[in-house]
Parts: sequence; structure tokens; C-alpha cells
Amino acid sequence: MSNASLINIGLSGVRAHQAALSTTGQNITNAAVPGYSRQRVSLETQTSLGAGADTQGVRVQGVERIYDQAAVNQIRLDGAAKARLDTLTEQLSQVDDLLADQSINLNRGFEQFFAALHGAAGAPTSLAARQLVLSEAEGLVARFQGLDGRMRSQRDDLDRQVASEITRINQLAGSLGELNARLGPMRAGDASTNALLDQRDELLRQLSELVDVKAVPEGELGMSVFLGKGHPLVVGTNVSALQWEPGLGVRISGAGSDVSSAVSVRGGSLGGLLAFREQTLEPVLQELGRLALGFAGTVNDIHATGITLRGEFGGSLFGDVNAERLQAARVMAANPAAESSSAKLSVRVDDPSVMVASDYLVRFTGAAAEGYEIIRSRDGEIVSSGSATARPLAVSFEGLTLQVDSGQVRPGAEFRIAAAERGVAGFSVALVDPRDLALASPLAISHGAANRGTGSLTLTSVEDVSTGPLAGDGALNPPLVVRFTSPTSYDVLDNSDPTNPQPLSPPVWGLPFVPGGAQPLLPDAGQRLLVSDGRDSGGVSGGVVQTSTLEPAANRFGNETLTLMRTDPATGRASADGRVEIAPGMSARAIAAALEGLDGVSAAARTEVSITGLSDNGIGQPLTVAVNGEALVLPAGSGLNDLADAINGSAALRAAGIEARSEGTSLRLTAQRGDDLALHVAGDVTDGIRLTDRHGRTAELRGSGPGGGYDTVTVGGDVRLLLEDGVALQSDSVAPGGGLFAAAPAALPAALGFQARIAGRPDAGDTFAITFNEAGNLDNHNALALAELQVRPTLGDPPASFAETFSRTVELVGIRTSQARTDAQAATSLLEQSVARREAISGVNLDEEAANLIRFEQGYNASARVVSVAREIFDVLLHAVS
Amino acid sequence: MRISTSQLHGRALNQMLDLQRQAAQTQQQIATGRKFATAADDPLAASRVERLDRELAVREQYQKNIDLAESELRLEDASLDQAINLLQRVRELAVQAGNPVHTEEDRRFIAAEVDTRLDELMQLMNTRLASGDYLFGGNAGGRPPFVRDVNGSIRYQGDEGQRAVQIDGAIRLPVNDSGKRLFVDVPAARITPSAGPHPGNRPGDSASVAQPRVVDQSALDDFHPDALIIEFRPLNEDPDGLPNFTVRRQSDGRVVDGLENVRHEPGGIFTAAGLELALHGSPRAGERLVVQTSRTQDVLTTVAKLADGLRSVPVTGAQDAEYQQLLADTYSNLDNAMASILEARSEIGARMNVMDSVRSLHSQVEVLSTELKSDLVDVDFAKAISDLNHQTLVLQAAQQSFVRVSRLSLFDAI
Repeated sequence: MSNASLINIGLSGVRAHQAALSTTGQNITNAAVPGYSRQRVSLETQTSLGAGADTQGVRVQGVERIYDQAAVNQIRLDGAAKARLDTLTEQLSQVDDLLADQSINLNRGFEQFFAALHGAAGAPTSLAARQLVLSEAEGLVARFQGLDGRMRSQRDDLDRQVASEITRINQLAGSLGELNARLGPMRAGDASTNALLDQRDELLRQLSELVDVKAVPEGELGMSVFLGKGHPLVVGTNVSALQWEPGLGVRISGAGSDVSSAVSVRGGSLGGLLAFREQTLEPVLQELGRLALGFAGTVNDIHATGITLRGEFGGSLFGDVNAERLQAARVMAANPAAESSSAKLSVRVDDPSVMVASDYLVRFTGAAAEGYEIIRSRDGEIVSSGSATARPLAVSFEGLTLQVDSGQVRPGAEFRIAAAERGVAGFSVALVDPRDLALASPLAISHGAANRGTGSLTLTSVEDVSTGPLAGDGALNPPLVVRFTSPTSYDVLDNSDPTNPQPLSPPVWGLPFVPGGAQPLLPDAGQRLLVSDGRDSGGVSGGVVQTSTLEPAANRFGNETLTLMRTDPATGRASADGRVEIAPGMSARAIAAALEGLDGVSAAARTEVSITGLSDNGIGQPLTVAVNGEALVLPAGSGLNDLADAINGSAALRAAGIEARSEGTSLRLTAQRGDDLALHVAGDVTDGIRLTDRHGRTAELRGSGPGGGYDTVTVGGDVRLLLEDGVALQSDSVAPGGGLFAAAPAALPAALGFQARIAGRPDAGDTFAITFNEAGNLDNHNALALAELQVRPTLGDPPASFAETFSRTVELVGIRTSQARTDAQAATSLLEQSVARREAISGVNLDEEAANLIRFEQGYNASARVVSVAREIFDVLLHAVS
Repeated sequence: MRISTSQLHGRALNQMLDLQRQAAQTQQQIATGRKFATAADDPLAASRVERLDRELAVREQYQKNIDLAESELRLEDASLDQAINLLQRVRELAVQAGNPVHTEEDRRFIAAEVDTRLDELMQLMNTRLASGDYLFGGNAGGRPPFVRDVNGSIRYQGDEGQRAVQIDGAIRLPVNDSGKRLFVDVPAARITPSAGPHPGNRPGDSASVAQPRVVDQSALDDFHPDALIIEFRPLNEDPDGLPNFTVRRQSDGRVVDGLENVRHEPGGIFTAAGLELALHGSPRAGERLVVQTSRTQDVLTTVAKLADGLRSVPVTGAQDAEYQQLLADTYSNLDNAMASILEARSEIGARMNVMDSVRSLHSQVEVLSTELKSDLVDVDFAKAISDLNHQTLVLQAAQQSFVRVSRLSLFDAI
């Protein structure tokens, strides 16, 4: 072994330990640098490849970066999750705090509004109580607007934050591209390479906190970064750019390229922000809007059916939810084709109770934009689609109606419908004067002064004041009277002249009543009324048979088949559902009984004929008139009044429900139950009566003396049908003028716009008058109907009250926030664990470095000593020689 | 496991921050007395509290409504009590008037007091609520329900409306009774007529009819329940072109007792259906008057008729039957009126009972809901304070141990 080699060995040790010391120094000084991976000098024994194969000291093999790719990747993943959840938690907590804020809590507003309404219901004439209702309505509007406004400003903040994060992502992507460029020519195991790698890991970590990325190593040192489902963000030195616009989402485009494609971003704080915006912020805003529309619409509908202190209908308490301006503002162009379309689109709210808290996208397809589909944005479901070239076009879906005017729609045009989202925008109080608050019902009921029964009539609800007898301000036209024709049957009549009520059109007569029961007075909305035409198949003298025999003949109703058609509300298809065959001569009563047996039909029958003349020569045989076999002999000089008295005096006829009413010139004979009226006349040939039926057709009956003509007539009656919604009647009669019914008889709406409840035991002849509420300023029916909304399930499916609907939103946000908090905590501890794992491998421990410092210093000293020993040996040797 | 220095610091710091957060939360719970501040702190409890809050608000409203209903019903009850007293007094006077030794002058004295009672009674029936609305006008609160028209007959111009107050989700409790029900629809001893203008008359029509006088009760009983329609006919239907009228039955429009195109002279008297009728005014053709017959008579008319009879029926043997009849009718009508009022009062009592039971139900539910809410919301202070003690203790320990551990460094030794 040569002395020179000992010096060399010592020198190699000095050099190696110097390198180790400087690496330790590097570690100590970088201990606090984020992302720094500790380094270690790897030493190896230096061997000489020459003769002797002596050991030749130590050699620095390289500076090793203590690093575990899996641990770093895990940090990125966990960091992205934590950043996402932290952002979500932060944003959700803002909404959660906002909803907990009692000063804008809607439920407190609802409570106060309804409390004021209850107060006004207790004192309907008090202007102070009325004013309080208006003030609380304003307060409620302010709460809605406050909440909506703060949610919107949070959305604006969020949008700005998204924009700045997008900028930051683009910056980081650019830096990564540059690092890739710098690392390109470098080699691993180099100290400066290690620094750049650490820097790149740190950039990637920062990037993954913003957005979920996937890093794929490329070559020895290269690294490509992908977004979402493999959209390249950084490949080598090529860097793509992200853009974002509210409503359009995140898009990515290659450097210098205009073509962009959508990226779905889920992780990182950007993912958190976007998820919050899409899953919480927008739905809550839409829910608020739906609630505002539902509340304003429902309250307005009820308010409009009441009358004010001035005796006028209430109109809108809150601003009209379908003001033209609002209808137009609900639709926005969503693509260039839509922007260049000239058609004006608008959306009307028809039924807020079935509205869904979601936006919609309407897309027009086809060469002439004739096809359309409406897609619910919340879940992408197509709620309506079709094809229509006709303009203007109206499409109804989920409580809304889209209206397209006659302007042109370009093919491919897409519009966004934001009815719910803009719900709060038009929410305002329309009333100014507390007198205009409609707390009273428009109707007043009075019981007839001569009523003998114990029946009572009470108003239940007013539904429609735009059509029917309540249309027009400040009047019930005509005023109505309910008159019981028997304890089990009643008519509703036009009471314009209370001393002589007239039938309504369509007539509402013969409605059944169960004595002692309680039932709605009037047909419901949707029910339709139909009265037979009473013609016969011969087209002449309908339902009337004239004979000259004593035997009463049957009426002249011919064969006729009545078919009940039922329309399926789901498919709109009508199918036959039951039939009734009319045999010749069947009485109206029997026909009605048969029809009554069909589902969805209630029927009554009545026969009416007028005797408009009576002649008796006063000598010879007395005039005898037989009604349904009951012969009534009239003394000489009798008139129609006497005949009427004779008819009304007959117990048998009264029992059969047959009545007469005469004022001297005309006698009206009525069979209340629709039995045929068979009239027979006996007497001298000049004696007789003249009949006129409901259709103005007349018949002369003469006594059976010489030259006598017809002496017997049988008159058939009318059938009155009340048909349920979706039920129609068809007749097979083909004769001119039809049979008893026309081929497709038209049924008219039966509802009168309000409903009352009849109860007790009314007697025949009892009346109940329904008039406009002229003086009833203490009436509070409408106030109670409004106040009931506090607890009435009104909105959605299953229906919930307004306060409940809001509570559900608060609950939902609360649950989401709490969930996000728990998840964020879990993500934090996961991240801590993966950081701990990385730190365990790559982190700098100063005590360890201090020990290394001592160790390497000692090594350095020892190596230096080796050099000095070598020198001493050499000196000893020199002395020995000299 | 290897521990890096920054990890040592970071971990300790995180733990201390966490402990601090917990302590702050406990402190906030103690300061606010609430277990949670927002729905997110405990969504389940928050949603239950929200439901309870809604329930409590509604119940509280119902309680207020009950208070309101109670005050209105008490006022009505007190007024009815007074009405009974007045009617009792009138009945005493009627009994007194039956004393055969009374002279015409004695009767006039009694009549004078009956008049005073009548005024009092009318005033009572026109009682106003605190709001200024009339108590017994049904829903027509803006005008006095009972008025005397030009002919001295008493007319009810309220309606039959009944106001209700929501005292429970399912119960709307009526808080008033119309004067018509209480004082007008009183079963009468016999069929009585009442006359007035036809509702279809035009404004400015001048025809009027005096309170009809019954001259033939059995004819009237036969005629009931029909009504008379008196219609002024065109002048050309009279041979001399003078005002004339026709009387018809309401039920079928028949001319009554041949009264067709009868010459009209203001104040002229004619008889129909057992009634003596006098028409006033200078009516135009088409004007109509209605004479209803009824099994009821309002209590004011009963009292007014008594006063009228006391003054007008002479104290002679021949008229005595009429006088005795009047007194007998009056007793029976007054008894019926008092019965009708008592019935209404017992109904008011029943309503009060309903109110009381509903009120106590509300109170019970309120107590339960409040307790339930308190369990959910209110902090258990003993537990919270002991938690806080524990948390601060742990925090302190963490801080001290951190200081100790972090102070250790090998560098100090070299």
C-alpha cells in the first residue's frame, strides 16, 4: 500500500464528509420549506480497478432524495378531497348561518303575517288590524328579498372566487410546463434536479388543492397532468387553459386553440365551489322562488275571491305573479341560435302548487324548429316534447306554460327557463289601502222567513269570481235561491225577482238531498249539466202522443241507445263506459233511474206541460179532466184556477208529486219525479183544453162528443244529467233533431264559482236566498280562508305548508353542512396521516440532522487525521532515511 | 416511526387548535344556553325544534283567538242577560195590564213604561262592539240592525251572518249570533204579517204600506205561508186613467179576493187575506209591495204591539176579548223570546266550554312542546361546565407538554 494512497484515502474521506456535511446543512436550512424532501449523500467504498485491488477510500455516489412517490400521490389525493370539503363546509356554513338568522327567517315572517291575518279576522272592520296585515306582508316580502339578496351576493362572491381559482390553475399549469421544460435536459440524482422535483411536487400539490388532477410520469423526469376524465392540462411543455362561465360550466381548450370542450370538475376547492353552486346554492334560490311564487299565487287566488270594505272583489294582495314583465324575464336565450331568434318567449305560472324547484332548458329542433323538448335541468328529465309548426305556441308542463309568440325561432335554439329562480324578483305587496284587503265573502245567505224545516245553508268557499254569477264587480248576477221541492230534492233558481224565481241556464233542478245529512249544495267545478232536448225520433210533437181512446197511451219516445263515454285523464282517450237503452214509451223517470245507475252520472227527471186554455160551454156534460187517471170534474164556469185547485187538492196526485200552478191564464202542470203526464178530457165536443209543452208545441184536446178529435195526450218529461269531469253522453239517434237526446249533446259547466253546505231537515217549500254580501263588513270568511294557509299543505308533492316547505330547505342545508363538516374532519385526519407518512420518509428531523452533523464532523476530523497521519508517516520515513 | 421536526410542531399545533375549537364551542353553548346555533350543528334536533316552533306559534295564535272569542262572547252574553231582564220587566207590566180594575189612564201609564222599556230594548239590540260595529247585526256591522221605518214598524236590516274564529286546526268557533236569529225569528203565538217594499223596486219608488192589522186571523192562517204582492198597474188599466193596483198571491200569481186594478188613494184601506192594509205614497206603475206572513214575530214588535194595544184598545166590554187576546199573545210571545234568548245563551255557554277545553288542550300541548324543545335546545349546564373544565385542562396540558417537548433540541447540546 503506498503512502500516497493513504493520503488519497484521507482526502476522499474529507471530501465525502464535506459533501455529507453540506447536505446536512441543506437539510437543516430547508427544514421549514414546504414540500422539501430531505437528502442524503450516499457514500460507497472507492475501489481501484488496478493491480492489487486495494481499497482506495470513499466516494460520493450521489445525493439521494429520500422520497416515496406513493406517499406524495396520496397527499395530492387527500389534499384535493380536503380542499373540496373545506370549501363546501365554508360555503354551506354561510348559507346555514344565513338561514338561522332570525331577522330574515321566513318562518318568523309567515308567523307574523298569519298572526296579523288572524287579528284582522277577529276585527274585520278595524283599519289598524288591516294595516298590520299589509305591514306584515311587507315584512315578509322584505325577508324573502333579504334572504334572496344575500344568497345572490354569495353566488356573486362565489363566481368571483371560481374565476380567480381558474386563473390560479392556469398559472400553476403554466409553471408546471416551464418546470417540465427545465427538467428536460437534466439528470436524476443531481442536487439541483432534486430541488426542481421538489418544486414540481409542491406545485402539483397546490394544483390538486384547487382541482382534482392526475399526474402521470413521462420519461425519466417528465410529468403530464390530466383533469377530470383525462382532459390533458399539461403534457410536456404543452399547457391547456381553463375557462368558466356561469351556467356553461368549466371548459378546456388547447394552447392557441378556439375549440373547447366541457370538463367535469369534482375535486379540489374548485370542485367544492361548483358542487355547492350547483347542488345547494341554485336549488335553494329556486326553492325560495318557488315558495314566493306559490305563496303570492295562492294568497292572491283566495284574496281575489273575497270582497273589500268597499264591497269590491279583492284582486291581488301581492304583485301579480304573471305580470307581463315577469313572464318575459323568465326565459333567457342560452345559445347563439336563440339569441338571433326573433320570437318572444315567456312563461306563465299556472299552478305553483305543482311547480318544481328547477330550471328548464327548452330546445327547438328540426329544419323549421318545429320540434321542441323541455328538459328539467335538475335531473335532465324531458318533461314535455312535441312537434308544432303553428305559432303562437303554448306548452304546459309542471305548473308552467311556455308561450312562444308568432316570431321566428331558429333551428337548434336553446332557451333557459328560470321561473323558480326568479320567483322572488317579482314578489311585492300590491295593496296600499287597508280597506282594499278582501276579508269578507262576496256572498250572504238568508233563510226564508216562512221556512218550516230545520235546514241550514252555510257558505263553504268561493272559487271562481271570473266566470259565472260572480263575474263582474259588486254583484251576484243573478241572485240565487235554493228551493226545496220536497224534503229530498231541491232546485237552484234565478232569484232576480224573489217573488217569482226562474230556472237558471243551464237549469240546476232536481238535485237530491238526504234529510238530516249534510252535503255540498252545488255541483263541483268540472261537473257538467245536460238536459234532454225532449224531442222524439219522428221529429214532431215530441214526447206527446194524442189518441182518441180513453186509455192513456205511452209517450212517443222511440228506441234510443245512450252511451256513456269516459275520457282517461292520462291518455286523453275516450272509451264507452256503460249504456242505457231507451225502450219506446219509457218515462223520463225510468230513463233517469237507469242513467243514475251509471258511474259518474247523477240524473233527475221532471215533466212539465202548460194548459194555456180551458173551454167549457157550461151546458150538457161537465168538463172532466183526468190527470194520470185521476178524474177531476169541473163545475160549469170553472177556469184554470179551479182546475189547479182541483189538481192540488187531490191527495193521490200530491202523493205522485204532481202539482199545478195557475195564475188564471196559464196552468203549469209539473210531475216532480218525471213521470209521464197523461191527460184525458171528457165532456161536450166543444169542451176541452189546450196544451203547450216546454218546446212551444201545442195540442188541443176535446171532449168525446160528436166530432171530437183527440181526447188523450201523454207527455214525456225531461231528463237532467249531472256528469262528472271527463264523462260525456252520446246518443245513437240519427233522426233529424235527434231523439230524446241529440247525437252528441253539449253539456254545460255546472259550477257556479262557489260552494255551500246544506244540512238539516228542510221541508218542501223552504227557501234559502243567496245574495251578494252588500253590508256584511264584519264577514271574515275570506280572512279565515287566508289564515288557514298557515297550516294547510299547499305546495309540492307530498304537499306541505309554506312554513314546512321552508323548514325542509333549512333542514336540507343543515344536514348537508353537518355532513360536509364531518367529511371535512375525516379528510383532514386522512391528510394528516398521509402527510405524516410522507414526513416520516421525507421530512427533516433537526435532531437527526444534529446527530449527523456531529457524526459527519467527526468523520471529517478523522479523515483529516488520516491525511495528517499519512504525512507524519511520510515524515518519519524521511527522517529515517536522512 | 420517524418524526420530522415540522411534523412535530404541526401536529401539536393542530391538536391544540382542535382543543381550542372544542372549548370555544362549549363556551358558546354556555353563553347562549343553546346546544346548537345553526341547523348544521345538529340537523335532526334542529328540524324537530323547527317543527315544535311552528306548532307553538300556531297554538299561541289559537290561544289569542280564543281570548278574542271569549271577550266577544262575554259581551254578547251580558247583553242577552240584560235583554232577559228587560223582557221580564215587560212581562210583569203585561201581567199588570191584565188587571181588570185598570182605567184607560192606568193603562196609559203602563204603556209609557212599556215604551221606555222598548227604547231600552232597542238600544240594547243595537249594542256596539269596541270596534264600533253593531253586535247583533250579523255581519252587517256598519249600520244599526234594528230601525223603525216611517210607518212605525220595526225592521231588521242586518244579515244572518255569523263570524267565526279559528281556535284549533279543525274548529272554527262562532263568536256572534245575528239579531235575526235571536230577536226576529221568535215563534209567535199566531201567524203574523209583515209588510215592506219589494226588493226589486227601483230607487225613488215611493210606495209604502203600514203595518198590516189582522182582522181575520183564520183567513190569515189559511193564507200562510203564501205572501201578497201588491203591484201598481199602468194608468191605462183604470177606466179613468188613475193610479191603481192589483193584489196577487206570490205562490202562483193569482189575483186575491178580486183585488184587480183597484183605484189607489193614499191612506186608503182594503182587506186581503184577513189583513187590513193601507197603502201610502204616490207610486209609479210597476212598483210593488210585499206582505209576508210568518210564524215568527220579532220581540220589538211584540213589545210595540203591547204598548199600542194598551193605548188604543178602549176599556169597554165589547173590546175586552181583543185586549185579552193581545195580552195572551204578548205573554206567549215574550216567553218564546226569552226561551229563544236562553237557548242562545246556553249555546254561548257551550261554546265557552269548547273554548275552555280547547284552551287547556293547547296549554298542555304547549307545555309538552316547550319541554321537548327545551330538551333539544337547552344546554345541560352541569355537563357543559364540566366539559369545559375538562377541555381547558387538556388544552393546558397539551400546551405545557408542547413547550417542554419543543424545547428539547440536540443543537442546544452542541
